[in-house]
Amino acid sequence: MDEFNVSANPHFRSPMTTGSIMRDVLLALTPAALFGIYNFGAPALIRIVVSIAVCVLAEYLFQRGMKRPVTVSDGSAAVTGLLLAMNIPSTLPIAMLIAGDVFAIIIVKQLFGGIGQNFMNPALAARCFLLISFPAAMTGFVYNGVSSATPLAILKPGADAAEGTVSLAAEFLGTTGGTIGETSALALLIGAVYLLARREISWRIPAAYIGTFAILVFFLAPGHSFDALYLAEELCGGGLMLGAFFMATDYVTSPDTPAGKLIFGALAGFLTFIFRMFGGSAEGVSYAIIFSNLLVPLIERATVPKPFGYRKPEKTEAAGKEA
Amino acid sequence: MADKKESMASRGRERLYNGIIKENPTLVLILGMCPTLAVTTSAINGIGMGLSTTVVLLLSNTLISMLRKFIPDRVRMPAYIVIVASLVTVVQFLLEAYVPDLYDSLGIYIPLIVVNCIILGRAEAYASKNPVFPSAMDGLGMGLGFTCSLTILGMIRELLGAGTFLSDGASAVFTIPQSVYTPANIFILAPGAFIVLAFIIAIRNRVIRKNQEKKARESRKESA
Amino acid sequence: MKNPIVKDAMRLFIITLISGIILGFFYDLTKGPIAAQEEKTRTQAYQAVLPDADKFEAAADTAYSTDIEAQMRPFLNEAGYTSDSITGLVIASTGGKYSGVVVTVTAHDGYGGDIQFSVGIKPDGTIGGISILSISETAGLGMRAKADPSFLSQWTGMKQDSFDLVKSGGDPASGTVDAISGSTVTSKAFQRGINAALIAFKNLQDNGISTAGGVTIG
Repeated sequence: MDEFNVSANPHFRSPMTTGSIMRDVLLALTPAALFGIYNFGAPALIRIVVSIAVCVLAEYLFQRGMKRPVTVSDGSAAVTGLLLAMNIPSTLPIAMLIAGDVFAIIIVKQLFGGIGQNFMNPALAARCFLLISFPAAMTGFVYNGVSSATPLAILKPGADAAEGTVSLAAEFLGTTGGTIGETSALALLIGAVYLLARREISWRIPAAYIGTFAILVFFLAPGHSFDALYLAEELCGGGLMLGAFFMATDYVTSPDTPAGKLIFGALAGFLTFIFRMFGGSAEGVSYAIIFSNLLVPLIERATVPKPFGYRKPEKTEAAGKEA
Repeated sequence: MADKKESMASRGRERLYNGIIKENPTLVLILGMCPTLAVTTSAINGIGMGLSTTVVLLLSNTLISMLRKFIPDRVRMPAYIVIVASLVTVVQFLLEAYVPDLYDSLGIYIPLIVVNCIILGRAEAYASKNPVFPSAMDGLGMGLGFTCSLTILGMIRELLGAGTFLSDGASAVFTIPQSVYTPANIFILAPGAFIVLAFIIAIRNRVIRKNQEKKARESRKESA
Repeated sequence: MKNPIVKDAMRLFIITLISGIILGFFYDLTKGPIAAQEEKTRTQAYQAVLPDADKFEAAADTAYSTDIEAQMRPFLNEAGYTSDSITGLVIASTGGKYSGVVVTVTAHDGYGGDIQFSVGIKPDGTIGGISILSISETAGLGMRAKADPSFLSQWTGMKQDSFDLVKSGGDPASGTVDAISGSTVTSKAFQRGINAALIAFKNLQDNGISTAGGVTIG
C-alpha cells in the first residue's frame, strides 16, 4: 500500500490531470523562453522548437516501437524538451541537442518505465550528459556575438578580476550571457508566481532550496560573507531560479511528504552552495538537483506523516522508563 | 577408448560454449565488474585485459585442478590466492618487459586480476571439483567470454567517446573526423561504461530469449 | 603427522615455496628487458624536448641529482611559485658538448591534481619543447593540453624570462601565450610551471653545475 501512496485517506478526486499540469508548466515557462529568444535571437528559437519536437517524436517512436500506449499527448515530453532547450547555450550544435533530447526521453525516462517512473529529472540528466560529453560546447557562452563569461563565472571565488564585472540589474532582467532560459530572473519569477498561484507547485521546495542557499552564501561565502550585493548576484545568476522553481519541483523526482519537501529543498540548496563555491565549475544547480533526486526515496521513507490521532505505542515508552 | 576421447572433446566444447555464451562472466554472471568498467575505454585495452585474464584463468584453473587433491580444504582460499597472485605477477613481468605500451595503459588493473572474482569464482566453483582438461577448457571459455564482452564494450565506447576505431593511442584503423562527429566524452568515463554495458546485456538477453522461443516452437511442432 | 593443522600448513608452505621460486625465475628473466624499456622510455621523453641532444646525464653533485627540489625551493618561493616543484634534472650533451637541460616540473595547482612535465631548455634559454609525463585533468577540457599539441607548442623555440597567459591573441615571441579555452586552471598550471623551470635553469647556469663526464651548464 505505502508503495503507491504515502498520504492518508480520505482522498478526493482533483480536477488536475497530468495534461493540465503540463500545460500550466509550459505556460509558466513561456515568459523565460520568450525572453531567451529576445536575448539570443533566432538560434534560441530554433533550438527550443527542435528540442520540443525531438522529445515528443522520440517518445512517440519509442512507445510505438515497444508496443506500449502512446502518452505524448500528456505534454510531459514537450516540457522536458523545452526545459532542456532552456538549459543549453544558444550556440550548442543542433546535433548535440538532439543527442541530449534522445538521452532524456529514451534512457532516463522510458527505459525506467516512462512518466512517473524516472528516478531523476530527464531534462537535467540530459543537461549533465551534454555537459560531461561536450564540455567545451556546453560552456562556451556567447553574448551579442562576443564570447563572454557568465555572471557566475565572474562571481566564482578565485576568478580573475579580468573576467569582467556583474551588473545586478542586467542579471535580474536577464541581459547577460548564459543558457537560453536561465538568464532572466524576472521572467522566471513571473512563471513561478503563476505556478504557485495555481497551486501546481508547493512553496516548500523552492523556499527551502533558495533559503538554504541564501543563508549559506550570506554567512559562509569565501571572501564575501555578509555581503548582501554578492548574495543578490548569486541568487539571480545561473540556473538557480530555473532549477528551484521548475526542476526541483518535478512531481516524479521530488518527495510527496511536506517535511520531505523541506529536507529535499534544503539538501539541494546546500549542495548548490558547495558546488558553486568550492567546485570546479561555476554552476552547480543541475548536479545538486539530480543528486538530491537520487535521495528522494530515502527522504520519503524517513518522513512518512503520522496518521491523525496517532499515538506512540505504549510499549516503547515503558521500555524507555525501565532502561 | 574412442568413446572416451569423444566425450572429452564434447565436454571441452560444452565448457567453451558455456563460458562464451551461456554463462558469459560479464554479461550473465556479472562478475569482474571493476576491470570491465574501468579499462574498456578502448577496444585494444579490452582485448589486452581480456587476454591477460584468459591466460591467468587458463593456467590457474589447470593448476588448481591438478592440485585439487593436494590442497587441503581448510586452507584452499589462501592456496588459490597464492597461485593466482603468482601467475598474475608473471604475466605482469612479461607484459612490462615485452609489451610496455599495453602495460602502461592497463596499469593498475593488471595486479587487480588477482582479486578478479571470475578467477577465484571458477577455481572454487569448477576447477576444484573437476578433472584437469574440462577445468582448463572452463578457464579458456570463461576467459574468452570475458575477452569478447570487454572487446565489444571497448569498441563501442571508443567509437562513441573518442571517435576512433581500434586505436592504440597513437594511430587508429580509422578516425571519424571531428567535423562529422564530436566525440561524447561521457562514453569514455564511468557513466558511459554503465550505459553501454546495460545495452549490451539487454541485447544479449533479447537474442537468447528469441532463440529459446524459436526452439520451443520447433520442438512443439515436432512433437505434434 | 597426526595434527591436521601441521599438514595444512606444510602443504600451503610447499605451494608458496614453489610459487616463490617460479616468480624468482621470471623476475630474473624479465629484469633486463624491463630496465632497457624504462631507459628507452626515459631517453625518448628527453629527446622529445631536446631533439638535438644525444646523451642525457644526471648532475655530478648529488644535491642536484637526487634532491634538486630542496636546492630550488627558496628561489621558487622568492619568485612566488609556491605551488610548483622542480623534481628532476638531467644535463644534455651533443657529441660531448653541453647542449641544454631537461627540467622536470611537478605543478601542484592542476585541476585534477599534480601535473608532471619535462621542459627542455637550450643553453641560450630557448625552450626546446615540453612533454607531459603525467596528467589527470578533465577529459575534453584540461586534457586538451595533451590531446591538442597546439597549446604546448606555443612555447617551442621561444626565448623569454617568463611567459604570461592571455585568453586569446597571445604572441609567444613577446612573452604571451593563449590559454586553452574553458580550461584556465590547467593553462595556468602549465604557464606557471614552465616559468618555474626557467627560473631553475637560470639558477643552474649561474651555479655552473656539471656532470661526472665534465659537461658543464653555462
